[in-house]
Formats: sequence, structure tokens, C-alpha cells
Amino acid sequence: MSVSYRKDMFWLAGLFIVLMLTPTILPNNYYLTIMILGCLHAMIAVGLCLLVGHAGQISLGHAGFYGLAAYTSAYLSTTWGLPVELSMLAGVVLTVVVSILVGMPSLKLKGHYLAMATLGFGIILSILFTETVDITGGPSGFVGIPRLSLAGFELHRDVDIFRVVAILLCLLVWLCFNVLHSRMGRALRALHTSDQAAQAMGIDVARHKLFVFVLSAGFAGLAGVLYAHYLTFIAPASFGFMFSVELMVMVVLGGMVSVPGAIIGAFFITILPELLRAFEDIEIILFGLILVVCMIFLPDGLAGGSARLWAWVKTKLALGCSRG
Amino acid sequence: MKSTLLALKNIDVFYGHIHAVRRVTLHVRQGEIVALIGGNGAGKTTMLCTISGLIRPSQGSILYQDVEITRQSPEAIVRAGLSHVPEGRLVFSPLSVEDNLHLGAYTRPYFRKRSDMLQDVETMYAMFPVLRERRHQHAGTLSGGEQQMLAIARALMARPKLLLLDEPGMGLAPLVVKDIFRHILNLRDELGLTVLLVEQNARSALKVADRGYVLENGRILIQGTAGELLANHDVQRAYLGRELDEN
Repeated sequence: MSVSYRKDMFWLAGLFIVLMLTPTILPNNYYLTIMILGCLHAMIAVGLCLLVGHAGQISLGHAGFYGLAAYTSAYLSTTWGLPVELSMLAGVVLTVVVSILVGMPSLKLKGHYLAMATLGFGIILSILFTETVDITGGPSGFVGIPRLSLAGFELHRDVDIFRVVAILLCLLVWLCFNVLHSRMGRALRALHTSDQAAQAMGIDVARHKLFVFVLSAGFAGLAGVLYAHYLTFIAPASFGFMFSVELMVMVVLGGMVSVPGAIIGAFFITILPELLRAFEDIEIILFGLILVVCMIFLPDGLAGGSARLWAWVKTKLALGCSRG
Repeated sequence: MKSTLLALKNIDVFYGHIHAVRRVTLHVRQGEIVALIGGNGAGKTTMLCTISGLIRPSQGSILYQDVEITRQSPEAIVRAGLSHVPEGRLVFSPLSVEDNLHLGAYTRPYFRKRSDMLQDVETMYAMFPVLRERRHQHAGTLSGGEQQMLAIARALMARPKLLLLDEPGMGLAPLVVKDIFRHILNLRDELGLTVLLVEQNARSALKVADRGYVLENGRILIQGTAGELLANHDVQRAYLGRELDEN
């Protein structure tokens, strides 16, 4: 195994330990809720990191996939009365199928045009969630979704749900690292530089683009079904265009190509608004300001920034030791 | 006479309404270096992309080792033994030099023969020592000449029989261009590779080439051995700047 792969696995182990210890230090359920949402956002962000950061294909439609899975699972489990596990599976599968259908034509586009196509898809879904009142409950939301259950046991406590979500997040991250360190991962990064050069190497560009698009949509789908069965209530506002943009911000803030960065970015964007609640009216201004400052002073994202900070601390420590 | 490795017959290529390549017929024999020269927009790059399957011709046929490859996918063409070094090098800049080389072997079933591939990487380092020095560096941080060598080495990783080189000297200092062309000659003499070379720098190209074609507005105007082309009055006037020398 290469050095960088070992490094990534080390990081993953660290993430797992931190996540497992988190519930013990959180004072109440409010914080736990935010952490659960953070994990769900992180799931989507790592998928997007592969799609946008590594393969260079932009998507502004992932909130749509997130919502599609959430609504599908909610509908099947509530209206049809299917078991929660089964409807969750159906939600993810449907999302994957739809992402294949959407991806095949739209991934022929590049750059801004791909952004436009996926944006359009996201908006169509968002309108569907709002307008098909009979199925989705419309703007007032879908209520009475059964709680997440595992092998017949309903998970009553938020702590249990958090553990499930955290473990799933770690599994997805593990999957991402393995994809990135494979032949496939190299091919994806090749796409980013130039379609033509990648093609000249004999890489099937269309297939690889579709693979990574569907993979990231699947991640969003998994996050979506967990979201529906955790909150037991969903509304179209959670799956709108703004959420797609927020997801992109998480990846960009994390440093684009860094999976750990995407996770840090996801938690950062999820937690920051809660911290700023105290400022009430100027909350959103501060939020924007912090993002701008981050992008100016941390051009390589939170991941790159923290790596530099760490290097700085290490040299300072080394200096201190040699002097002392 | 050596056998024909690549033969194009009456190739036509359109970009929308634009007739970029008109009825081009050419051939490359085993072990030859063939130069395709011409000015900007003559259709040189289009020709190479058509051969490697990146662009589909609207008419005509391309035979490689007497097998029709005209409508095959770029992957299949790379597998068949044609490697394309694209214009402007297009190395994968965020990847390390070594990863670039590994990508070059993408079409090879390396899960069975990983040791073979690593062996080939070593061969490339032996051929281009500067790449070994920079093996862990991002390809984007290499100089233009080093990137060109990397692009060539990357293409060689697919173990081609025929190398398609698009403007290897583009934007490089004359000394570096000389070095690159020396490498191209070595490829043929030592590895027995056949090379189809596109160049604007007609003089450098014809110095190493055996034969050449002059392309203008998508048509082949003149063809002949490198010596004939260098001596041809029209070629001299249009591409070698001879008239300016005399005046």
C-alpha cells in the first residue's frame, strides 16, 4: 500500500474515533441533531468531492437527488406501509436509476453548460416536490414518516441514529479513498485535466463520468433516506437550489480535491449558522463574511489551511525544543 | 519495401459546415518517420485526431495493419497499438509524473501484469532521466520540454507500434526542440517505433523525417521524401522561409 493510502486510512480511523466519542461530550439532543445533519451533509459532500474536485464535473442538482430519495422512501414507507429498510433501499435505487438517466445526456456537456443542465434538473425536482401535493404533501411538507429502524428495531434515541449515520459516513469515506487510490481514481483525475488527453490514453471518458456522477448521486440518495427517517418530516424547502449551492460551498471550502476537507467543510457549513444564531439580524451577513475571509486566506481550503497550520506548529515546536 | 502500417484513403472531415480535411490519402510504412507539415488551420491536428478516433471522419477509411479502424472507439485504437501525444502536451497536471505514466498504461490489463508496467516505467526513466528526478512532482510544475518528454513517455506506456505526435516542438526553446527531435529519432532507431509527426516547424521535422506531406486548407498539396521536400521550391518559399534568406 502506498504512503498516501495509509495516511488516508489513518485519517479515516481518526474520524471514526472522533465521531464515536462525540455523543459523550455533547450536552443535549440539539447538538446531536446538528451533528447528525453534519454527517448527512458530509456524505453528500464526499461524493461531490469526487465528482467536482477530482473528475471536474460540476453538479448543481444534488439537492434534487437528496430530496428524490427522501420523498421516495417517505412515500413508500408511509403511504404504502412498506418496511423502512425496504423503502430506504428503494429510495437509493430509484435515485441511482434517475441519475443514470439524467447523467447520460447531460454529462456530454461541459463546465457552465453542465452546471445549467443539472441546475435545471434540480429545479424541476424541486417544483415536483412542491406541486404534487397528493404525493408529497406540497409546501406544507410530508408528515408522519416512520423513524429509522434496523432489522425490525426502531431507533428511538438520537444517539443510536447518530451512531448509524456516523458509521455509514465512515464506510462511504472508505469507499471514496479506495476509488481514488485505484486505477479508476487516476482516470477520474485525468478527466479533470482534459477529456481529449484522457481519451487519447484509452480511457472511456463517458463511462467514467457517468460512474462518478451516479456514485455521488447514490451518496446523496443514502443521505436523503436517512434524513427522511430521522426527522420524520420533510418539506420541499430543504431540497431547493440553495441547498445544492451550499453543498458546492462545502466542497469548495474544504479545498475541492480533499475528501477530509469536504467533510470538514460540511460540518463547518452545518455548524456555523447555529453558532451565529446569537447575532440574529446580521447572522447571514456574518456567514457570508466568514466564507469570503476563508476563501481569501485559505485558497486551498480548510484542508490545506489546517495542513499549513499543523506544519507551522510543528516547526515552532521544533524551534522551541532546540532552543530550550 | 517495408509493409504499410497505416493507410488513409480519401478521408473527409467536417466541423459543422467547415470542410476541415478534404479527400486526404496518405500512408505510413513500418519503421518510418513521416512528417505532416502545414500552416495554422491546415488540418494537421484534425488529421491526427481522426486517426486516433477522437474525431469521426464523414467519409473514407483508415486501415491499420490492413484492418479497418475508421469507426472504432479511441480505446480500441490505443489497444491496437496507436498512441497519440496530443497538441499542447496535455499532461495531467495535478497528478504526479509517475501517476501520469501509470495512466499511459491504462488500456493494458495491468492487474495481471503490474510488474510489467512497473518495468516499463523504469524503462521510461532510463530513456528520460529527468522524469525520474521529478517522479513525485506534479506534472504541472514541469517545464515545457519536460512536459513534452512526459507526454511522449506516457504515450509509450501503452506499448504502441505507431506514435502520433502533434507539434512536439510547440512553444519550446530551439535547443529543447533539438533534444526532443533527437529523442524521436532514438525511438525509431532503438525501439523500432513508427512515427507520424505533425509540425509547423517544417525544417526540424523534415530533418528527422523520411517522408513528408504538405497539407494546406485540408488538402495534401505536395508529398515526397524529406530530401525532395526540403529541396522543393514551393515548400521552401512557403514553409522554410528560403525566399527571405535570398533577398
